[in-house]
Formats: sequence, structure tokens, C-alpha cells
Amino acid sequence: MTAHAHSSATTIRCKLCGFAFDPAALACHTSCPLHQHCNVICCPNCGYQVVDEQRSQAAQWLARWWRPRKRQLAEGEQVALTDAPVGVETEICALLEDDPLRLARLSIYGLAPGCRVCLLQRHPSCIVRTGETELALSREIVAAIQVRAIARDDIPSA
Amino acid sequence: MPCHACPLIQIDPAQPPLVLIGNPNVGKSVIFGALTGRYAAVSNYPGTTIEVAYGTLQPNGHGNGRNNGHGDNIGQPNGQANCPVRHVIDTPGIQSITPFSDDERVTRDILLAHQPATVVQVVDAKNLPRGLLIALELAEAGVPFVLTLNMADEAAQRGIHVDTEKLAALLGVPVSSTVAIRHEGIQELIEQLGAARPATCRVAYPPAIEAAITDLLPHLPAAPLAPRALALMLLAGDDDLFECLDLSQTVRTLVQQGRADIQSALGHPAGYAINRQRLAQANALHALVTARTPVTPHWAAALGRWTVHPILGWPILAAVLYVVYLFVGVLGAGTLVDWLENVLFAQWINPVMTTLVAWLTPIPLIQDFLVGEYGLVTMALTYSLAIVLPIVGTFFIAFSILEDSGYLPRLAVMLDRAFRVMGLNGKAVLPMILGLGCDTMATMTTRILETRKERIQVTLLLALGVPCSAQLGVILGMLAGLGVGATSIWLGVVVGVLLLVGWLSAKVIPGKQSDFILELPPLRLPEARNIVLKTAARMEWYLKEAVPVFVAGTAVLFALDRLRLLEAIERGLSPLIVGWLGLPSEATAAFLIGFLRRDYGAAGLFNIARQGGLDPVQVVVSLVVITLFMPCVANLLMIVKEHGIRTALATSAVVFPLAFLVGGLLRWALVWMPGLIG
Repeated sequence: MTAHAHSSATTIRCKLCGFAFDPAALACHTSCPLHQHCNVICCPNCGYQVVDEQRSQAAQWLARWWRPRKRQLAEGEQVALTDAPVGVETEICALLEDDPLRLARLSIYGLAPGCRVCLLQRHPSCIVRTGETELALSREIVAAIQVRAIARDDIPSA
Repeated sequence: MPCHACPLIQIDPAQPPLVLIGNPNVGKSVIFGALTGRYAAVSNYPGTTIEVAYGTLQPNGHGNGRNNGHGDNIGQPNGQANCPVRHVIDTPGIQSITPFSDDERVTRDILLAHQPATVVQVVDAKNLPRGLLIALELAEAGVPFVLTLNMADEAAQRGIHVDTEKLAALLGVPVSSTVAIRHEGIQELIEQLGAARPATCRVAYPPAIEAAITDLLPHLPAAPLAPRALALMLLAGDDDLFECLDLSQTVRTLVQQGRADIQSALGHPAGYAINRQRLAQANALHALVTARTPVTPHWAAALGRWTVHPILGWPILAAVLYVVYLFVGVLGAGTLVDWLENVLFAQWINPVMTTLVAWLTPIPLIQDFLVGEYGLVTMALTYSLAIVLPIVGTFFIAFSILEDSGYLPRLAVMLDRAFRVMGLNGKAVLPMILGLGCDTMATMTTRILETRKERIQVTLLLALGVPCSAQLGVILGMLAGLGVGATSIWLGVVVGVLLLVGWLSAKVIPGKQSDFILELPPLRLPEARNIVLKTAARMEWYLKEAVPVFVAGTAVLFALDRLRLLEAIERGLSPLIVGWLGLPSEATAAFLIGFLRRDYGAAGLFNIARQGGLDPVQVVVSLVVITLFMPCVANLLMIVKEHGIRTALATSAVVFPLAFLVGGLLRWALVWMPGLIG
């Protein structure tokens, strides 16, 4: 399902049939005898079920360790570099970091707003590439780097 | 460290020295060697080259440099009588002239000490923006310099082409291109030295920074670096300069005010804001002079990715470590040690020396001191030259190959998570791996770690649970006879103790952990000449620094034996060894001698086991205890030398009781569950 906000006040589009519906308005949540602890959402059109992450403890725990990774960033979308798609060059828009020494060190390596960076891998350590330099960084540092997709007119043509 | 008040060598004022500056891993030391003919350590692991090397420049690029560092007369170049000597100084690799590390402080101090030094800035041709950051700092400092784009072949492989003439025009300094490892472009570089001049390129900072600079300029003293550069370094956070330049309280107040104003106006710390502006200018220059053409990726790039792959990286790591084990553990610790100890020393050197000493002096005390059971020749030199030297020699060869190939930082990446459990990060892999060769040497290498906390932590872990090659071979040989279960228990207990003590020490030892920011150089085929020369330089280092410590340790042993203290210590330890650990009384001597000479300890236990004196449980218990014991007296003395007597005592206070505690608990666990050994 693709959700736009918290599921209790969200219009959801079924991933299988594309039907858009409000899960709060589903009759199954009131008429079904199992509704009290039900943590799935059924599409009223095709019956396809997905887990309601707001109501499932297991889904919330799993999401901490295994989040669906983005394959590309939407224009204007800003994410932490740890959540950026692997192998895609992005532009640094902010460093959420207070330590002056760490900020100075990162800027020396070319990790500063306006510079381009590419996440190469997340495990066993985070590795990023900036220019022709590959750097292994702790996850904490990479998470503090906010990136966005490079605007189309900035991408050089082949 | 003193600044300009302490020149490192005596320099003729009429012949200012050449100072080589550059990022780590750009081939700076190779260029130094090409300019002077003297080898300096070349490494792909940033931060390894921390010593400063000196030499003399030859106009044809082949010099006769010597590293004495104490003002000795270096001498005239060959065949050129009465020719003025031009010194060349190789500095540690830096990211910035404004220092954030000890390496950068050394470089800054060299620039302050020698005026007007001519600088040769070595840049990695494929990483031009990072080199331009330093070039812009040199421009602000007003230091005459030339710039050389080294590793031009690697840049070409990646389709990167730099217009050196355009770059020279934009910077206002001579720019050349070199492939130093093949001596390409060196002569052109030497010919450009006479044209070195201060750069004309300038960075324009935001008004808040420019205002702070303007306020400071009238109050700064004359120095080898231009006042503008000093003002920027002060604003960026280089507080050492207050003492170095003996700056007044007025200046300190202006600097604090300037930093606050910049933070307020720009929303960022001053150092960061200054770097950002330089970075923007460096990127702009880079874009103007660099063109890229598409190329087929080099094989080394793919192999480099595999070595850090979350799945493929592990079998590659295991294979590398196995090959290292075969080379060091089997060839070095087996074949070479056997020949040196049992043939060269046992059959030739020791008998000859014993006869010679007996002939030279009739005094038994001196005879025993030199060639007795704990003699200088028969024990100290035999141990350090016949046992440890071949092991560290083969280890250094293997280590140099890992360094020069670029694999060592990748090893740090793969092991970073494991080290984090111990409150360290992957950068600690260097001394820990060296500890498998010789803990005494590895303790020295903790110097490269950035924070005191990390240096003490790694020193503790080395002393606690990293067996050196001399000991490891015997241990593995004894465990092999007992099977997989015994080996697993030994390994599991030792690794578990390391992880637990590492985790606890991270909580207890005060101080900060350094950031894990590690550059991964490209994989390269190592040059054989560099490997041989680097190994020779390190073995020279071992002979000068570690062998005297082994000699001192043997002297301690001799004194203890003469004063009959060895027997007393043995009697005192016996209840602990027999009662708590459940070992036979003969094992006491093995433990005691194991502290004083590490391989003897394991070998002593091996002899007892071979004679049927130890059952499988006792073998495992004794090996765990001897692994966790303080490595040897030489290591203890090295800890005193590197970290002081208090740290050495504190380390001993942790290691000795913990080794016996873990051994005793393991004994009781195995007595209850003997089936674990199998």
C-alpha cells in the first residue's frame, strides 16, 4: 500500500489493484468478530491484505532493522544519506551536526552542502564516494548528512 | 610540540629547505625518495607515515639523504664539491594546514620553523579538489610553492584529464604532472623548483569572516606564514598558535569575539564556514581545469568493491588471513625460527660466545650475566634475534603488502562493527593485527590512534588477549591434539573476554572516541622494491627500539634469579596455580617463565602435556590463562615507555587477576561439563 500519512486518517491505494480507500471507514473493522486485535488492512475491492504498521508491534520492530529502501528520490525529497538509494549520486543539502571538529573534518573531505555524494553501501560499514574519494564512515555520521536528488538541469548529458 | 623556536635540523639560511606537503596516500614519500634518493615509508593506510624524514636534494634527482634530525652535517652531494646543500623535509600526510591532528600540527610547525621554505605540494591527480583545499591555504599563507599532480596514470585510467597549464595560470604557481613510482616527471619538477612563488589565487570569504580577519591583522606578529593565514587558522580553531606565537590576551579576546560573530552571522562554527568557502572555490577551480572521458572501469575497482562486500568480503578476508598465517606462522615462526635458534645460535653463536666470555673474564657473575641461563647473549639476543626477529620480519613483509595494496583500510571496514562492541572503531585494526606478530611492537603502534582513550584501550586489549606469533604457534599445536571442541572453547573464552573488557573499558576510561572517517584508497599491485625497503626500515626500527627492551627484560630476570626471588615467586604462586586453576605444581614455573619470555611459557606447558602431566581440561585452562596473561616483561616495559608507569600498573592490575579469575571459572565449568571438550 502507498500511504500518505498516518493510517488512521489516510487514504490508501491498494498495491495490487490500485483501488483507493480510507481504512478507517472499512466495515470489517466493526463487523468482523476478530477486529479488536486485527492489525491488517484489507482492500475492499480485491481483498489484498497488508500489515497496519501503526497497530503491529512486530512491524514496528522489524521496520527499525529492515526498512524498505528507496530506489530513487523524488524531486525535492530530502532524506538522511543512510536512507538514500545505493549507487545514486545525490546532493548534500544539510549537515545535522553540532560538533565543530567533525564538521570541519567532513568539509575537508568534500562533505558539505552543495557537494555531491553517492552512498555505495551500508554494510558492514557505510561507504560513500565524493568526487574520486571513497570514505568509510560511521553510521552516525552518515545519518547526519541530509541529501536530495540532483536537479535534472544539473545532471550532465552523456 | 614547540613551533618555530625549534628547527628540526640546522638549515643554511641561504638555502631554505624544500618541504613536501600533501594529503595522505598521494605518493609524497615516493617523490621524496626520488628527489633525495632516501627511502621513506610509503603506505596506503592514512596516518602510518608519522615520522619526518630529511634528505638533500640532488639536481639530477638522486640524493644521499640521511635521517638524523639532530643537526649533523649532512654532507655534500656526490661529485659536487662546494655545492650548497638543499635540504628536503617530508611531512606527514595532512588534510589541512589548520591542524586537527598531531600529523597536521607537525606540518604546521615545520612551516613555522623554516622561513622562507619552498613547498612542493603533491596532489593526487584524480582527487584534485582535496589538493586544491591545501593549495588555497598555501596561497593564503604566502608561501612560495610548486604543485605536482602525482599518480597521473591512475587519473588517466579513470578518464580524468587536468589542464596543468590552465591550473598554473589560475593558481599563479608552476604545476607539473608526475608518476613518481616510475620516476616520470621528476626532472621537470626539479627544474620548476627555481620558479616557485606565492600563489596569486585568493579565497573571498563572507563579510563576517573578512571583518574578523581585518580586526586581527594589526595584532599578529611577523611569522613565516602570512598574517591572513594566521588569522584564519586562529578563527578556525587552532588554539595552539596562542602559545606558539606568544599572542597577547587582546588577540585571544578578538579571536573569541570573531568566532562568535561568525557563528551568529552564518549559523555555523567559524572553522566549518571557512572550509566551506574554500571548498566552493576548490570545486570551481576543479570544474574549470578538469575534463572527463568515459572509460571502462579498471579491474582493481571491481576487486576493491568485492573486498568490502557484505557477503563476498568475508571469504576474501578469511583467505587473506590464512595466507598471512601460512607465511608468518609456518614459514616465519616455524622454518626460520627453527634454523636460527637451533642451528645458528645453539650450535654456533652461543657456544663461541660462551668460550669467548670465559676466556675474557674469570668472574662467574659476569659470565652468567652474559652467557648464563638468563644471559644477555644466550637469552636476550637469542630471543630477540632468533625467535622474534624472523617472526616480525615475515610479519612486516606481509603487512607491507597489505598496506601497499590498499587492503588494510578495507580490513578496518570489515572489522569495524566487531571493534565497536569493544568501544573502538575499525582504525584500531592496525595495532591489533600487529599484536599477532609481536605485542611489544604493537604497543608502540598505538601511537597512531587519535585519542589517548583509544591508545590505552588498545594497549590493555593487546596485553590481555592478543597472543603473539611466538606463543600462538605453540598454543594451536597443543589444541590441535585435543580437537575442535577444545579450540572452540579457547577461542570463545579469549574473544569473549576481549569483547567484555573492551566494552567495560570504553565505559570506564575517560575521554572521547575518535570519529570513524577512513579513506579507502584504490587497490594497487604493490611494488616489490617498496615492500623490501619498507620492511628493512621497520626491522631497523625494531632493532633500535624493541631489542633494548628485551635486553632490559632479561636483565630483570637475571636479577630476580640471583636474588632467589624467582623461587620465592614460584612458591607464592603455587597455591593459586594448583588450588584455584587445578594445574600441577610444575605449571607454576611455566607461567612465571611465560611472563618473562612468552614462548617459553607455552612451550613449558607443551612439555608437561607431552609427558602426560596435563589432562585435556587442564590443557585448555592453562592455555586460556597463559593467553590472557600479560604478554611478556618486554611488553610491560614498552607500556611504561609509551604510557607511563601508572598506566602499566593499572594494566597489570587488570590483566593478572582477570587471567586467573577466568581460568579458575573455566576450570570449574569444564569439571562440571567435561563433554564440552569432546
